[in-house]
Amino acid sequence: MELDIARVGSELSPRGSVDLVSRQQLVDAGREVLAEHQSLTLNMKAVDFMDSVGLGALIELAKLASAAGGSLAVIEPSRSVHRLLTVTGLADAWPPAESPAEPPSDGGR
Amino acid sequence: MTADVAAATASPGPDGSPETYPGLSARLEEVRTAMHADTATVLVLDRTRTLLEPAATVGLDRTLRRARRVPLGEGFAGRVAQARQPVALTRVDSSTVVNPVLLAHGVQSLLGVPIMAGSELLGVLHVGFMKRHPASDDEKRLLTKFADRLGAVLHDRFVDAEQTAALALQRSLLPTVVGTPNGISIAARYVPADGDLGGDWYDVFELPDGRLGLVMGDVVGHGLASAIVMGRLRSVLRAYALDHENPAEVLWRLDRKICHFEPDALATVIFGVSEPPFTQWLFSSAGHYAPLIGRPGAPVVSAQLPNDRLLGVSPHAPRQSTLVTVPAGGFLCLYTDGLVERRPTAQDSSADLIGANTARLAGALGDATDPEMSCIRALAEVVGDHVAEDDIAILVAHISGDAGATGPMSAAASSG
Repeated sequence: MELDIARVGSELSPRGSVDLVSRQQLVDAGREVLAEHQSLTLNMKAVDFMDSVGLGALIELAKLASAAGGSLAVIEPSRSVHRLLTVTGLADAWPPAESPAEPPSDGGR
Repeated sequence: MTADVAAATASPGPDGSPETYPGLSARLEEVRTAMHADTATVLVLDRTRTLLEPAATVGLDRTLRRARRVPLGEGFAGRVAQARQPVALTRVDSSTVVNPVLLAHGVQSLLGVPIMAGSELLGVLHVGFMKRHPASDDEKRLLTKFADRLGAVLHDRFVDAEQTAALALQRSLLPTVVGTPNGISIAARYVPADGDLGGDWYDVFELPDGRLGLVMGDVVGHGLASAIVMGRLRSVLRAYALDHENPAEVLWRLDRKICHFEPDALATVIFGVSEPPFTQWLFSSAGHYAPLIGRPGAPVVSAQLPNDRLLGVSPHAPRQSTLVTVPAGGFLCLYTDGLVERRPTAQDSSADLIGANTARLAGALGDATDPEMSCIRALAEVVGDHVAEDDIAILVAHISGDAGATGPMSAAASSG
């Protein structure tokens, strides 16, 4: 299933499932944002399902953002996304840009 | 991509020589005839994705067949692979071709096209002419059509070979009968996803001091690559467990290992150790679901463990071990997310599928007194007639609390 991704500035809002099928689409869209901006914000409120392969896309984007000298922010996670981030210990890995974590997120390596 | 895997299935070709890809020579003969060419050759991209390996060739003397591997970007086939479009050559000498076989044979002109499966490069198909022969656009189109057909065939074979190899690997690493010391009986199941295989694994091992280790893990992704990473993690975790008592320390070291040596890998793992009588467990979780704990006369509950980060993201993430008590007569259950995580469908009324599935799992486990039966009932209840979308692994350990007794080994135990 195609992911529907809306973009405003450096913020992407995917709608649908982030999984094996759509992960690359999200990474590509994020890469486009990071070509123009240092940081990337993912608004995940309309993601009704995300699996561990989809989570890999977020981790890849966090590394790309980190390599670009910026960071990834994940905001408004849906229930499914929030649960996965919580179980995998990533709930606080990518805080909103307004309140950066101390020390800075190590979501990227 | 996986010439090594395909090579394992080599069988004799029509002329008795070993053929890595059965039937490929016959297809090449068709190509050669249709193109009015003198030679036809297929090279396949190897698993490092940097070398093209000759897979089959027709029209060359048998003595000249042993061609060399061609690095991507070098020589004729290497240029076709890099350009990913047809390349025609009307001057064949050592400046344009690295394959000594073609040079020695006296080929004068070459036409090559990439073999693609979707956007993925699988290899190169080229035909050679003993006379000077400038290729027409029609010939390029025709050869491309042949390459497309070969691409579909090769792709299917790669997928088959990968699945066979991954399944063999998985089977070799997952114990089907779990031998355990007195006081604890363990059963486990692994159910591969429909048509695909992932990196789920479980492990049970005794340490030299008599402690028992339980592991449940899930390498993100599918197929052979995940199964290979799974095998490595399983071994490395065992090695660290020999030297470090604290599960959190073991997972911390495992994380460093993954981050450094397997930079593209992600995995969730839960690891627990206990000594006889196996009622006190020290667990550490790297992004994995907490164990379900059954206590006699009480509802099955999820153990309270901190959600430390999954492996492969941040090598210095803080990790903790937590004491989990399982009384004699109770049990603990480890599982992978495939068991409880399912894509919501239009029919699903529950807003919290995972919560609902976990509750069903807990219910199925509740009354069973035998770990084999627990696994069977859990899978029947939660998976039922569904086609498994994701791999599922489940391990159930029943604690009898008679560790010191010299009585018979429990039902699921073996001397293995």
